[in-house]
Amino acid sequence: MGLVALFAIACIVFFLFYYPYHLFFKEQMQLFLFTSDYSLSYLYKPAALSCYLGDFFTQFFYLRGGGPVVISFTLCLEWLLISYVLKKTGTEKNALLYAFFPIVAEWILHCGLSYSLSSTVSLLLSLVFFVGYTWINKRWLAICLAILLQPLLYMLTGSGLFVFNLLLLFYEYGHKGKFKEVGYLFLLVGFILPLLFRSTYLLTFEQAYFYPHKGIMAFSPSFLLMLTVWGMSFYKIRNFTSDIRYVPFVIVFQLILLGGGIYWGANFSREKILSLDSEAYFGNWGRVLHLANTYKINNTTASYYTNLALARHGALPDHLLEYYQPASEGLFLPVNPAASPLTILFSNEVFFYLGDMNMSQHSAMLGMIFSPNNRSSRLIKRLAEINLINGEKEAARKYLRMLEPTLFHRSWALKRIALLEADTLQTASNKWLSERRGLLVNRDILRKGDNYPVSLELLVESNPGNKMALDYLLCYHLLNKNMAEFVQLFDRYAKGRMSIMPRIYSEALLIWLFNAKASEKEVQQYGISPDVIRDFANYTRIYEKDKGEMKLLQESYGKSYWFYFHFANMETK
Amino acid sequence: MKNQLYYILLLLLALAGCNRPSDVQESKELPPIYPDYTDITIPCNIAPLNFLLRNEPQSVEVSVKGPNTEFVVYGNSKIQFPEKTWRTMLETEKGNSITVKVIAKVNGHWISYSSFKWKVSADKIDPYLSYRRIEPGYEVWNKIQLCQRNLENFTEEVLADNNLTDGSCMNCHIYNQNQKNTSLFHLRGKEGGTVLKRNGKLRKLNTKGKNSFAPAVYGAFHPSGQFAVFSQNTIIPEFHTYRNERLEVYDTESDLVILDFDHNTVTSTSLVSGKETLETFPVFSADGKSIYYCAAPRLPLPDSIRSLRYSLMRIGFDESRGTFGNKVDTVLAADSLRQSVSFPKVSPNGKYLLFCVSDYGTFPIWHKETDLRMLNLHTGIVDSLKLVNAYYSDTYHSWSSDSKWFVFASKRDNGVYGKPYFSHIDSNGVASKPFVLPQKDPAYYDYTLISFNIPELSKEGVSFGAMDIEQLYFKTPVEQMK
Repeated sequence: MGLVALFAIACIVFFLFYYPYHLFFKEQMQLFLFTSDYSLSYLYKPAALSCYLGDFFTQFFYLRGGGPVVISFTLCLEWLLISYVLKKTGTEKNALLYAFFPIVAEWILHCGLSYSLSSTVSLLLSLVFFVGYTWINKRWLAICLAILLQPLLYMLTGSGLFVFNLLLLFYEYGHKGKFKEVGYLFLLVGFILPLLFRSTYLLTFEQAYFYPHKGIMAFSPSFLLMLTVWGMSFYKIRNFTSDIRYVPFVIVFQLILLGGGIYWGANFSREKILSLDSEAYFGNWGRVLHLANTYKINNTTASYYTNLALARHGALPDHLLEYYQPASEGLFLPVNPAASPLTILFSNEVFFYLGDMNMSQHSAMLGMIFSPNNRSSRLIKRLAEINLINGEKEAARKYLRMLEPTLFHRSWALKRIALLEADTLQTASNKWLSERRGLLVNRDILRKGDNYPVSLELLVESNPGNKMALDYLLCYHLLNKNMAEFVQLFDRYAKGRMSIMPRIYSEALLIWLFNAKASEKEVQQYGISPDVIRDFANYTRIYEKDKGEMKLLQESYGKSYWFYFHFANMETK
Repeated sequence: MKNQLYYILLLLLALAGCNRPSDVQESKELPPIYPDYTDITIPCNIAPLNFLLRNEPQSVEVSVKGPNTEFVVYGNSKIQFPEKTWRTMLETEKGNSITVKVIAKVNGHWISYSSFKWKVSADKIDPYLSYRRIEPGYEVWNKIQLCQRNLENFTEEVLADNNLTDGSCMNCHIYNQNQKNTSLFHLRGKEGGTVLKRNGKLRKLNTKGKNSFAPAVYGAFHPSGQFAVFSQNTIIPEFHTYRNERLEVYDTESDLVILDFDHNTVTSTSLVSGKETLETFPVFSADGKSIYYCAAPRLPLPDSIRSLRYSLMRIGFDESRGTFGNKVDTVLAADSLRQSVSFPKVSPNGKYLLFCVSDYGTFPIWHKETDLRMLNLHTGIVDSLKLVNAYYSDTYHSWSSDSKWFVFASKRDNGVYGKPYFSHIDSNGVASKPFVLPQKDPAYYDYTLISFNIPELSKEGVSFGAMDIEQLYFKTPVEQMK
């Protein structure tokens, strides 16, 4: 038991300190409701009990530490159950040790986004049912019950039925009783049942056999369990595994497997992205920047959140080129049939903070459509906020009402309901609402979803004080090297209105003015700092002298817009 | 033992009595029930109109009283009528008005609300309603189902599920004269086509003819079932910038075609297919001799979108040849209406034409201001259906086979999620206050994130299901239309 306790601590430490954001994200992508209709909806697919319990416990991933504790607990429980099952199916000694192999697989799988707690619960339940089966002393009664309950097992555990049936087969064979051949009957029944139920549940062939698992790798714990049970049916292997001399080697081997599996199976790059996303979701913009500075990864989504955090601090142009920028693709994430579900999920954030509620709603709606069960606590909260800001009270009320019968989002919803009731739409009683409404566009035009400049310009036009929209607009053109558009918009919305001009704007203006052979008077009208002008002269001198040699300029001017303008490669897709 | 049972019974009765109304305060207000089922006309074969109270009562007592029946139902905040009692009541009270009285215990006090009426019409409604269940997004979709609901109870069957057909989009399930024998819907995707159920057979058609620029989109059957008229559209979605205006969808090209299912042909005429005009939403008249449709002059889009208004038009149809007529009439001019017409639907008895109006454009579901109108085809009078329309969009509608009922999709609850609503047309052509499709759990609509799209009534349930459509999608070759 000491081993189990040690494992539990290790598991908690790993998921709490090294891999927490995947778990936060999983909770955000579901919405568990305490209503009868919602509970009954689980019966429309197999593995009803597995999925219900899996989703129930997943909601605790909302808490810092909740996810690690839940995963650790379920894996420990599974480990102990497997150990018991191994003993029941013939393992004489060290059952706990060999029962760890499937747990290694579980740990690695939980590092993925598509593997849910429902899959673990499905295996757990099939083990529990099997243990119950072994407790029935009269074999004929146990077998009759097992046959009769096959459909129920499929309804409750889905593909866990195969685990139960295979264990039954090994068990009966191991006992060498008169029912040992019956195990093959169970295998056949287990193979046919999903086919029979497919039309009831409206599943594809693959789904009927896999549910609740997604993908073949989700069967790894079950496969390793079966392999272990099957291996233990051989005398020589039992002999080997009972020998205490080999125990240290097995432990080392398992630790190597676990370590290697985590190294190859866990996606720490995605964990970084999810950390940026989750901290942004929690509103910890300072932390987003801190993480961005720590990671320094060249990734579009990382740039997206870094830029958003910079903008939330009013510092986007000041630090834009200190981070990786894939042209303007780090400012907005695409929402179209070719975009990945994660991208769609993240895409609404920037629109929300810019004040483009229409695009934010569209993105959030699509994000929810692509969440695993078409429900997301996070996106429902966002949709509630959007409709509150838009003054669409009934729509906001619908989303808030959905959050009421939840464990962790109810109080958030109740506060917003109070806000909604107090809101007269004429003057917002709440500061947050008032500020958000102040950013709304006041003119209607039609635009394509990916026509960001049009959206941004409308936002600036509607509210000249929307610094974030202005910075996004100007930076959008800078990152795409659209100098003419940049200058035109700068002249229209920023010239003479900035107390301190961000350096990147000065640098860009100098390029334009230089190419346009502007007079000294024209340059002075922009109020560019003499230091910047001096630097530009120096840069130009070096650039021309060394015929545009990048390496010479990189050290002193690598973060300048001049360097970006000359050396950033623009690939057309 | 006998005494013990007696005392237990007494205790139960006493406990039951504790929760019966006492010191009841009278209120002149209607009870805050959801859905709003107050003062409506209902068909004599509708499922129970279960409802809940919004003010979170501890206990509710509902008494239902008609000339011939009377019963009481109890609940916490939800009222779910026993189906057998409900059916008996409807059968007994056909043609009568029944009074519904709600008494609720709110914050410890009993309140007796003002009663309301249910007029039980002797007119049955077609017992099946099909619709598409889809989330109200655009550009991308995930889960879509075509479903069929039995309106006399709460049974729902899935006719098609895109989980079984490669995640393809599917839409526009329509019937010929509300009958199951001939129906059609579009199934997109790599192996998709227009799925036609006719003469007992399921077929998959490519409705894009040789000279067509697109496959069929919106349309309707000819009463004979041999023909259908469809529009072919190039559809462009764009987004509004203002608050909750959300999406705008317009056509850059749209023409009309006749599909002949016996000969697998697609035909048209220059009168309804050309570069100068946009034609869409065609539907046959009840006698099949003409086609109503919407048309607008082509304008530079999207710049002129607010000037894009469709008129209601009519062109003849020659059934013997399966071709369009040679004369186009304007039935309702957009200029005089100062609104854009869409989705014309003729009642089976040929008396009325229901249609949608919006400020402009051709995709009314995203227009908040969209309302229904009813044209009397004999008198030419347009009824504004004030009692039917609500603040948010009221759109896509379908008639029952006897023209006494119609169903339409309305977003009146919150402007986002559409639900089917039913309204009765009496002998004077007056439409009643609509009511929403009842659900077993009255809180259902609060927790669903699905819209009910394109509701269509039918007399009988269709005989195919989702597995048949899966089979058709993957195994049946597509028939080309010539």
